[in-house]
This record gives sequence, C-alpha cells and structure tokens, in this order.
Amino acid sequence: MNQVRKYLVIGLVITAFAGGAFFMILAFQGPRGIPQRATVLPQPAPLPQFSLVDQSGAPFTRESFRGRWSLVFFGFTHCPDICPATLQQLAIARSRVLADGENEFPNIILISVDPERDTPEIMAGYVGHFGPGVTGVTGSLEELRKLTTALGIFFEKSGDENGSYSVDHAAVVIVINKSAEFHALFSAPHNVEHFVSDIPLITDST
Amino acid sequence: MGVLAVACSAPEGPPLTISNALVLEAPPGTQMSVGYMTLDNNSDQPIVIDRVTSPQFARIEMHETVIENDVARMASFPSLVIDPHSSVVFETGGKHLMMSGPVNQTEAGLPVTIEIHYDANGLLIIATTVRSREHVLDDSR
Repeated sequence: MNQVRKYLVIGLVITAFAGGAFFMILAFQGPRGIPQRATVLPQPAPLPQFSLVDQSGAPFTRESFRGRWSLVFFGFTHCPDICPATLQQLAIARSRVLADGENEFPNIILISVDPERDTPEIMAGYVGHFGPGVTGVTGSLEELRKLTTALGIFFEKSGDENGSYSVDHAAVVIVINKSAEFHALFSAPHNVEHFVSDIPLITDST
Repeated sequence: MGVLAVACSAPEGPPLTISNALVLEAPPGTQMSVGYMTLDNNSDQPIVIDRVTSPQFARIEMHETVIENDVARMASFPSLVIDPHSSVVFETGGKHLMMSGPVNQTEAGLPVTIEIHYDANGLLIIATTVRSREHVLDDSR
C-alpha cells in the first residue's frame, strides 16, 4: 500500500510540474493568433483625403491604399540611420514572409517628411535600393500634414550650425488596411522578427 | 570581414581598440553612409574621441539617434569620452557615424578607411569594407 501511495505522490508531483510548465510556456508565448508587438486599434480609423505623388510622379492619394495592406514609415532620404534600417528590416521581413508561404505582403511605403529635398526622382532611386514592393511618396508640406495630423505623426525640421538640417520624426511603422484605414502600428525599436511574426497575424485577422 | 586597426600613439600597447567596424552602403541619390563599431578603452585613463575622418568621405560626424515616445531625433556630438576600461557601441538606432560626401561611389565590397582621432594626438586607423544593409540588419542570421 505504501508503494502505491509513493507512486501516486510521484505521479501527482510530475503532473503538477508538467502543468505548471505548460501554463508558463503559454504565458510566455501569449495566445496564438494575437500580434505580440504591434498595437492593433480597437476601431480602425479612416484616412483623410490628401494628395501626394509617388516616385514616378503619379498621384498618391487615400485611394492608393485601397485594395491592399500597406506598411507606412515616415522618414527622409538624408536620414543615415533609422530610416534605411527600418526600410531594410521591412524588406527582409517581406522576403521571409513570402518565403514562408504567404501569398502576399503589404506594400512598404516611405512617405518623406523632407519634401524640400526628396523629389520624386530622389525617392525613385532611394526606394529602389530596398527591392520590389517599396513605394516612395512625397509632395507638399500642406498635403503631407493632412495625413500626418490624422495619424498623429510628428515631424519637425532641425537645423545645425553648419547650415545643414535633419528632420526629427515619428519612428513608428503604421499599418493601413485594404479599406484605407489606420489599423495598427509598430513602435520602435524595430526588428525583423517583430514584423515577420505579427504582420501575417494582422493581415489575416480581417 | 577584414579589419585592420593600427594605433599610432601607444608605446606600451593600444589604449584604444576597435571591433565590429562596418560601413553600410549609401542608398542611391543620398550620398549618406553610416558607420557602426565598438570602441574599447583599455587604459586606466579616460579617452576623448576628438573627431573621425576618412579619405573616402568629405565629412564624418558622430551622431546619436534618440527615440523617445516613438519620435526619433538625431543629435550630433563633437567629441566623446570613453571611461577607463569601458566600451562605447555605435549601432543601429543609437550612436553612429554619419558619413557624407563620398569621394567615390560607396558600393558594397569597396574598401574604406576610418581614422579615429583621440586625446589630441592619438590616431587609430581602421581598414574595412563597405557592406550591404541586407546582410547586416537581418537579425535572423
């Protein structure tokens, strides 16, 4: 009888440990199917009307977002660090997600917060560096502000004593859904894994 | 990646060493490259980095990307103090070398030399190559 009780106690202890480990793993990984790094808006917000141009000089408006998911980063071509790094991370995520069997990946869109220097021609050369599926958008400050204000995107010119300037700007990646609505965002700092894990979950959720 | 580092003012061994030095290619039309590295102060005294130069670039500035409340701001700093037996890392999203005005095209694979001027008359020279962002930023590799 003591032998039976001994095995019963050992069995209970093992079961308790296994159960605890299972729940710890679940707690660590989070529920499947829910983005872990992106913030998804409870209610998507429609974009306002605006009129910009893409790298070929063609109109780029709210309607340009319709029909396909988009990942939007506001930056500028003279930005040496975070702008090219973020675009490259998105481009790498695109390659990996498509290689993993997804049929499509959102458009990657750089919208310039430095339209003074970023002409469509400059944008064309720049976004081409990051491979296919990357669009460059620029235009007037007035039209740009229509979009940035609606999305809560900050940007501000910052000069130095040498006469050159930089632009402080929001570092988030905005997710726009197929209905041209602000759907989700990724906060900085970014890395490829965050995009690879969460983007298919976001785009498959609707 | 081949990296050659030469300290020119170190009678008893290099007080300043560098590792993981890399220069990323400039996207077309920008003439703006970026450099990353780790600087180690191996000495018992603080080391002041006065400036950074390169024969391949007209101008190099030490910058730092600071992200606060999801806003990225870029601040330049004219010099940098490295505490004794400490390291300073230049990396994506943090301190970096803003390298502008390339003498020639900065394509991946081309050689580039970085000259670290420190403590008024110290000089550390690094020979490395320009690399593509794709290989450096893929954190799965």
